[in-house]
Amino acid sequence: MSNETISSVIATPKRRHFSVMRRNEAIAGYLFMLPLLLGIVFLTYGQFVYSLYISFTDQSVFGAANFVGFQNYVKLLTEDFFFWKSIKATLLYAFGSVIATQLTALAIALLLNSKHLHGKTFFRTVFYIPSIVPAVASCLLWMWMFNPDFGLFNAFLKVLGLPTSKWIYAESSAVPSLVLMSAWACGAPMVIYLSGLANVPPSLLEAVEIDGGGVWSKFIHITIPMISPVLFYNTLMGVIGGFMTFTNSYVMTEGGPNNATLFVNYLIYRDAFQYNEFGYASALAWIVFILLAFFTLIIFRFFGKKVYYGDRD
Amino acid sequence: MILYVILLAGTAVCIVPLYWMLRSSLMSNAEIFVFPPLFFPSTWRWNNYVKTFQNFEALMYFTNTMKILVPCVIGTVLTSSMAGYALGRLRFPGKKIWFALTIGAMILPGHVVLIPLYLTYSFIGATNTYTPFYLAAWCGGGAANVFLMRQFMRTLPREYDESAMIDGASRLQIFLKILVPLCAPIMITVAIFTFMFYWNDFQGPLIYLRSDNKFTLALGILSLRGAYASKWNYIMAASLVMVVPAVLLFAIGQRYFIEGIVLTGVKG
Amino acid sequence: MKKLLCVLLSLCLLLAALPALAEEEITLTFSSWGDAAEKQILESALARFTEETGIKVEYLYTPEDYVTKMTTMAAANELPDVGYLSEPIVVQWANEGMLKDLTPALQSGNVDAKMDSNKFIDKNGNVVGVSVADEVVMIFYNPTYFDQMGIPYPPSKAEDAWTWEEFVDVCKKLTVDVNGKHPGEDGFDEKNIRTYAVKMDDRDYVYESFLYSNGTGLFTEDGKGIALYDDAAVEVFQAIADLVNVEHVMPSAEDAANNMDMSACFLSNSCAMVISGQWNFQSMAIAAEEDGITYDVGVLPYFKEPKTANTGTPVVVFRDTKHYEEALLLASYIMNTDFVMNFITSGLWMPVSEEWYTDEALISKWITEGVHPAHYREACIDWALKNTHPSAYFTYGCVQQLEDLYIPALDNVLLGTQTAKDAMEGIRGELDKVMSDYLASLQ
Repeated sequence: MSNETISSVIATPKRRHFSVMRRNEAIAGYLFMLPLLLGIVFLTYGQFVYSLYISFTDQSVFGAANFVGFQNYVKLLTEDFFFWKSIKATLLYAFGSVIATQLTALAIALLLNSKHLHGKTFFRTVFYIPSIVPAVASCLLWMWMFNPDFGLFNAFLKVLGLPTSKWIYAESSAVPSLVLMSAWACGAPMVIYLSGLANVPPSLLEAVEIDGGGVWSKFIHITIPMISPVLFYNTLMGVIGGFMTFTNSYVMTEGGPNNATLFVNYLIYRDAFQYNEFGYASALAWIVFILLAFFTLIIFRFFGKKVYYGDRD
Repeated sequence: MILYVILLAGTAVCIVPLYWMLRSSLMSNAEIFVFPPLFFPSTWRWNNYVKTFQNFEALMYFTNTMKILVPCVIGTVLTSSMAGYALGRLRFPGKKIWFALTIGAMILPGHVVLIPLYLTYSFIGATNTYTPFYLAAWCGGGAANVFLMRQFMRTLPREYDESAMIDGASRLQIFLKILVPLCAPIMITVAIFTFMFYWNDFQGPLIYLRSDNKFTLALGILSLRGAYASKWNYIMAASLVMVVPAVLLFAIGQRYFIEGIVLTGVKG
Repeated sequence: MKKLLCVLLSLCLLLAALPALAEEEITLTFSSWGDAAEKQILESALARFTEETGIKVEYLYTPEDYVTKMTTMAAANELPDVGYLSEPIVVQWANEGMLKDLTPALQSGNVDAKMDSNKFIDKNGNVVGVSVADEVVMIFYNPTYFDQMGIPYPPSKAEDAWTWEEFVDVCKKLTVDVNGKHPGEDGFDEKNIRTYAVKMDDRDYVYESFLYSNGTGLFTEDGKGIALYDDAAVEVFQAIADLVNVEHVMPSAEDAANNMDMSACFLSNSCAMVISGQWNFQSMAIAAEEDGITYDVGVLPYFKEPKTANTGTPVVVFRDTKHYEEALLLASYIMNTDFVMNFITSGLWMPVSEEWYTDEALISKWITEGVHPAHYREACIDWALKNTHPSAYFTYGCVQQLEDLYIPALDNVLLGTQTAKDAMEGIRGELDKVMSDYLASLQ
């Protein structure tokens, strides 16, 4: 046989084997994805499409739906009294709370990850508690702590000789106050950081030590990259969660003072269920969707590239 | 050490709500709201706990909650790890699109999907049953969990998969015998988060359930809120009783997932 | 032979079963919110209904987010037959055809005559809801504190009601700072007030009451325009805000005293008076027993005429009902005052039929020792009978939207950073838009 024939005989099975493998992998992929696929198609996007359609009508939940084109969107962007204030408040809260919450969660996780710490179980549980206290109870508690006259916070400030604040009772300090409250309930991201930190190989950290690097060096060069997948996750979820915030303003401030905490989710809820303007509310929801998708894309584009995964993907 | 001081300060901040709930549950309704706040009740009304649960069918609500919770936690962990495996380690056409759709599923505000979703379930006759909860859990268990599993799966080196494949293992075996044990920490994390979600969730049961005998604990607690005035001391008592099992579960479970398996030897 | 016997037997059974088959079993659905105690009272009322009429009732209990749930069910055409509905959305729903006419129930003779001031009317003039309870606004006060300060109690008869100026004067005498000084005195420290004279709960009803008292309201006389930015309304809002910022007799929004429950206020002496609604009697009675506080009631101060707004959650019959007659029957049972007596004696509700306000025998049935204080008869019963003005909720479907505009706008007025006039001018355009949209939707 000639060399070509031999090589062609050798080559073909490999290629065929490779594509069979690829096909098997694809089949496996879809099989494993099947439950999620079904959920996405029937439970999620069916509803998305429906709500997109509704946003182009003047549907009032139980009335007939008349097609009105982009009227809802235009009205929201140009005429709605609450829209722009709401978007501003939501953006301020979302980004504020991401920064505050992630920093707090990471800091606590790092502290709790210290090698020589005793009572880890106790502390980890303790710091997780705020995030599972029922919203009703914690909202009430925070209203008490925020009270300008007798609340815990102003009491501390007074003791330290610092100026006091009106917290949630004044327009300018309302959103920052809620951001503070969100940082307190950072139990869930903290737990995820702990899981991520647990997977940082000590051998890598030792290697940096041997090279003469200190705590900061270890942090920047090893820890951060190794936990970047969960850092990425927590940041993205933090932004999304911040945009979707509802309960705190609904229970504590009712959107006030003077609509300073009238977040978009609250506005959607009000338009849909109290004013019965379901088409209008859907349009608002889709504007939020576009805005959030934009930010998500940016986070994926810029942050996503820097994430270090253990696999060679 | 400074570390302990900081942590103890933080502990105080976090324990405050539990203490506050306890002290409020033992006071009269009026006392709860007095300013400056009282740290101790003037009389310790342990009787409040008896009164709270007098009209409250705790056992029935608890059983109902478990009927939802157990299948849903199992379903969520299972299907989200399956999807995370697929999205994180397998190559298949359209993967990027499906991943984008998964993320997209988290971005639309829930209030507007509430009604179409309800209509869907109503159409298949699933209202006043637990089916909506089961379906949501077993069909991927929520985009956030899928995303989390995918992130974790991606941190594990491919060498594991590849050496197993060379040994002739099927993908299913790789999944079950290699990845699941390695991801046990994050899977337990997801399990605990999912537990907390269903334990405290009242929105879902409120919308989908009609009969009182199907209600869950979280929903039952709301019956302590009156139309015009609420009995806050009872609400605090009931909330505290609900928080305690959750805290215990976390305290016990965290040891398993946080001190999880640390990768040594393979990388670096 | 056996076969024939079998056939005969089955025929007999069939004939015996026929009458039962002919009686169709109807099950109605009834929905409400409320706490566990209210739920129990309703359950026993519904059981009594079933006993007396043979109609079964499925009770749909929704402790929270009632409107969300109803709206969702409406979208799926699964609304209950009869149920409560939140006041702000009743007329709105009715105008969209979601509620059925209750007039046949009212005329059937099953219900005692209901006061017109508690009827919800849709755009066609149909009665679509009747309050299950009447609720009015008045001054709750702490008699012990008044005795301590040596000040006569607030008047309990409408004829003796304070003018706004008299009210402010008394407030100044009631308010003391930590050094015992009153507003207006030298050295009065407005930042360290020990006891405020008054605070206001449930602002929407309180504002409405004072608007009516000043001869105005949310809407103009013809019902087609907004009166909130007119002088009469602005005068009311400014007067209320001045109580906080000028007279220093009312706590501001961020003040601890403002955030306390009425019972906590009296317990800690942080407020001498609280302006709020009738429904408070139930919790005040409990607080009196648990903490030993004292309370009594007086009529509101007035601008031009002593007036209170009245309100009350209605029971309605929903559009999707397949058994209109039976639903009307159930509704009339719930509306029947005797049927819901437990709510009334506990202090939560008031009857909605005029005879219960005038007939001595009936009044004594309802007043409970330990719940209803000494002046209840004059300051509440007579007050509700003669000086009430129905809340705008009864006849307009756009009240919620107006409130979502003007109440936040008043936040800055109450903080003292803006005048009422400016605040109302600032939202004038928006208020008018809501009104014109609403009027257009009625066509």
